[in-house]
Amino acid sequence: MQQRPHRHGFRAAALTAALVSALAACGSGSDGAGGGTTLRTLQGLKPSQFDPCGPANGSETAYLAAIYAPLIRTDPGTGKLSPGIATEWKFSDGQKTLTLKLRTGLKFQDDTPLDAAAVKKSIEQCLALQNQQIPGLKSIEVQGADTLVFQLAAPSGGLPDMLGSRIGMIASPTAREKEGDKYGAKPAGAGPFRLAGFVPGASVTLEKWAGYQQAGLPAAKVDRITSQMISDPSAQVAALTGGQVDFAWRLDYSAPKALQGTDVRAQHNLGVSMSNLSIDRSQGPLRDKRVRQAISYAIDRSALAKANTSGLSDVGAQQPFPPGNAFHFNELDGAYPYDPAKAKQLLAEAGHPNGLTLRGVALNSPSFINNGVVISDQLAKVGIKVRFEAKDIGDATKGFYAEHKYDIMSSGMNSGPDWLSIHRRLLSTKSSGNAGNVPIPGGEEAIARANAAQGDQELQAALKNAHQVLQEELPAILLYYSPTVTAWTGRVTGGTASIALNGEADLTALGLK
Amino acid sequence: MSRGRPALPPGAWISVVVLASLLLMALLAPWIAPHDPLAQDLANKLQGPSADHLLGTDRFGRDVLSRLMWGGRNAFGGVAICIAVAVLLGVPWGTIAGFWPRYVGTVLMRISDVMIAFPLLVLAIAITGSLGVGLVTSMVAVGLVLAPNTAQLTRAGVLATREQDFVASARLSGVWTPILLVRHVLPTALRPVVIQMTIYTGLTFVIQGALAFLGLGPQRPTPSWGSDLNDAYSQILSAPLLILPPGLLLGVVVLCVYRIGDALRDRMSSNLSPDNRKENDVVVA
Repeated sequence: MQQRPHRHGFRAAALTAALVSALAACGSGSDGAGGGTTLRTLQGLKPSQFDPCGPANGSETAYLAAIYAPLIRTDPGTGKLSPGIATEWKFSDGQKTLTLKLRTGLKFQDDTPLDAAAVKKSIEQCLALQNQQIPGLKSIEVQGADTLVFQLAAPSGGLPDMLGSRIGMIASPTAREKEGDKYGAKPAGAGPFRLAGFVPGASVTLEKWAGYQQAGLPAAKVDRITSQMISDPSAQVAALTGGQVDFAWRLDYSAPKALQGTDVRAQHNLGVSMSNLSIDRSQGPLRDKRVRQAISYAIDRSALAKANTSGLSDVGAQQPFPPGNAFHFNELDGAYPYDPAKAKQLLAEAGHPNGLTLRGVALNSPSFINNGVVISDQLAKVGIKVRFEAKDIGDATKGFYAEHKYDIMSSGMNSGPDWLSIHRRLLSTKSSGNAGNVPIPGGEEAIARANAAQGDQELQAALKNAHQVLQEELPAILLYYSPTVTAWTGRVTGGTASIALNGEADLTALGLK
Repeated sequence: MSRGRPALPPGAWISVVVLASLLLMALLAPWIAPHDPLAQDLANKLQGPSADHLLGTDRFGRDVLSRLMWGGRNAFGGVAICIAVAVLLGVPWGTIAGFWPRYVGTVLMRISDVMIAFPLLVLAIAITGSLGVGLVTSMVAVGLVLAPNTAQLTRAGVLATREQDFVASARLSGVWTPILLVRHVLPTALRPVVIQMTIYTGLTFVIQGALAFLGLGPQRPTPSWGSDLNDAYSQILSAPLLILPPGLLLGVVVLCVYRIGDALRDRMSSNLSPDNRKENDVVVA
């Protein structure tokens, strides 16, 4: 009778040892449940679906770029175009016809053949979802299995760059047809990884796709990538320093300082993501350009950037692309220096010598809310009263764009690397970012000029002109370029190369030692 | 031998003084706060305590002490709104259910049972979401969530009191029912409710802080203990001590309220017979 406790003790010890071994195996990272190498990652944002043509919130981009082979590849680090599914492309008919030559013998992850007909169908499905568009597209023609021709109503020199963006991530038309609304959770591309698991708000698992054939992306260097969604700054740092993850991106701005003196390498870059104020020019005092310009003069962008990026950046934004980018023009940086006196003068000229009150809304995320807090204080100094209500993205955009309940919205945008999409968003009358679809003097002309540009020099001049129109008319007030924070442990290879221009991680560049 | 009420213990007195001081500071904030709670000084953000800023500055360079003083106005005001809603809704609800228990009371209590079945904070967040974010709406939402508990407690008190001889004699002498309820039944029946309200007060400070922490309370940059705690938490890696002032303040206030509630319960229980004491035991929601 007295030996029983001992027997229980032995069993408990054996059970504990087994559990500890199992947990240790789970935590080791190099040998996941399915065997092979597992790269454990985390990111601070939460993707909701994996269809490049579905509703985008930006946090899914890194996974999309690993799941889908691109029609034309945009180099994540430089923004330069290189072959993807298409090996070559050329314009004819005054940039109104774009012909692409495709690789042959490719397949999607659901075994559907990837040929010109499949690409055409996939792009048409994408356009039908109405989240993406190709401006001026007349038709897409298939010439044999390996040639695709885009016919356009007007010159569109930006189309190859656009095809190197989301709309060029080619999804299996069969899978999209079969899954319907659920396609976003069951994607099938032709990239080196396939989606193996997705728990909304918690985790994503990608597995190496054995059937991948060269289509612009490097082959998978690990067998599996697991990704946890952790937004809490201290939990992010703890996961990295505690060895729970090997690589992390979109980290909190406080992470670099907290990771100093640890074995984890952290890097922050000025990406092409930007904070901005969207303006409703269809009603209220902001119809007057002088009021918009007064706001732009009243904002101390450098102080704002420094305050809301934990000191990682003090670079204010007055044009869509950051310093160092091929489409950044240094001479345009001084358009709106911090000048409260000039702001007051413009307000007085616009008939508001005693100031005015605006209705503001902020997208419900800490950075946009905090931008609103600082800006409301800075604008108060020139007599503009505004308080930004925090609203979830659906309510905020509905209230701002559809119901015109607000004059100004604290939000952000991703400027690249596709220049055509960003300039259309900022300057075109029909843009979804143009509240009330009020024409912007010179806006459409600036886009047309850029689209008709022949060669880099003409394109540079056209985009500089577009930025000048943006600065003069201020359909949106740009604030600062949002830095992106990436970190990785010593086990990871390709950390630096994985940092994309848009702040996302190029997961295909990552491996393990 | 005098059968007087027991004196309040020193802990309760200290709690009363602390709470009264905080309430006074909140009320007088416009005159005694050292700085404008909204005034930013980005060049001096996240500074430690100094002669100019006794509790330091937050991530926007705002004076932490001034924000806590101003935030007290929202904290005490919000709790008052919440308790008022819980009482104004819960007491009539429970009184009707207790005085006419057979059919009306059964229906009313089943409704309260359904509401109580939902987790308190989850239901409060759902109601706040539908009413719209803000101090008043979030506190009304919490008041609505606490009302069924208040109703059940009130009903228990009314059920016990309506059988008392003094109520029966008043009823036989033809006292009009509303007068009977207000003058004879409720003064006795509500004793446990009063004690329960002190517990709800403490609970409401915590819930209010939680809702504001989640962004469902007063909107930024309005001073609020919960949202200031959230701001401080977001800076925990750069300025870990910043969470102490709002965090400790919330803790102290809740402890003080509960201490006063304990003392109140002891004091009221001493006036009840052992049987009534058992019936009037308070249950924390």
